[in-house]
Amino acid sequence: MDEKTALEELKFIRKIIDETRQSVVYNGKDYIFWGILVIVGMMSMYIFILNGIYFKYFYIWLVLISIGWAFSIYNGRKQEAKFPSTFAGKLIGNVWGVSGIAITIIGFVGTVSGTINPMAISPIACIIMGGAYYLTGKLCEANWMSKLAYGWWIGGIALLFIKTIESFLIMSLLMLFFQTIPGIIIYRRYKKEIMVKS
Amino acid sequence: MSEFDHQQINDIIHSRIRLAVIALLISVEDAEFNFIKEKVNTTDGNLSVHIKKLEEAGYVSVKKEFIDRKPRTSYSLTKNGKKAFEIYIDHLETLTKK
Repeated sequence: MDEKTALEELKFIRKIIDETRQSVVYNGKDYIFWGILVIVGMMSMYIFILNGIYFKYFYIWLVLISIGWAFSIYNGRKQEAKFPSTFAGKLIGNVWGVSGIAITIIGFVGTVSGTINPMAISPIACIIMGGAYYLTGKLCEANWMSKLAYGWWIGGIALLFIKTIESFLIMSLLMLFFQTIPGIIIYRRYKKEIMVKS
Repeated sequence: MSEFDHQQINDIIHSRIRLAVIALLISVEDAEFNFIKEKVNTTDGNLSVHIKKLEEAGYVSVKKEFIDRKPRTSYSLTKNGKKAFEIYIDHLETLTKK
């Protein structure tokens, strides 16, 4: 092997590594699904309260959150079967898993125990999600995702002051602009990547 | 042209397909057979033969499991494989500096 061949080999190795990293993509379906679920939940509560229909809204969330977790587990397994696992990918999965568990505990156990005011769930969820977005952006080297964290944190601070039913509308908007739409962007990139590969 | 000691070349890694498999596996924790096949652009049979050689050398480990009732065969680089790849890269870099 001479110098030229060695250089070609190194270029070849670099190419394979770069291509593999680029092809390890995430489909973003979780972001869209959870975004829509929370918007449905928030808007339902807004409409029910506005029309004076009162019942234990806890059950709406119990159904929606259960559907969300079932979908996330199903989507995660599908992704796992299709794409190789990376250390960063596993970290991102854990960041979202831990954040989701924290929000679920606060939302359900916190309110059922009476320790947490139900109106505090949205701002707490926003602050936790801001952290999850920030870390995800850093781990997958996507600055735009890290920047979404500021939107969540500002939204969380605003919701700490807004204690009326309009907070449900604000949370829906946050879910739309900082969760569902970014999810659609990720999904479109994923589809594009799949098309290029096929 | 540089003089080169052929004894130093790792013959197991020094094959286009096996090198591609190792370079691919170094970038991930593990990868499924079809993913590797697609990336390396080869046939099932050819890839199986090359992966078998890497397995026999102790560079690659195989994991067979069922996900949603579908069989999944994935491969990952062992410690020995990583070490051998590092040595191979060092060797190539030495050659380019000559």
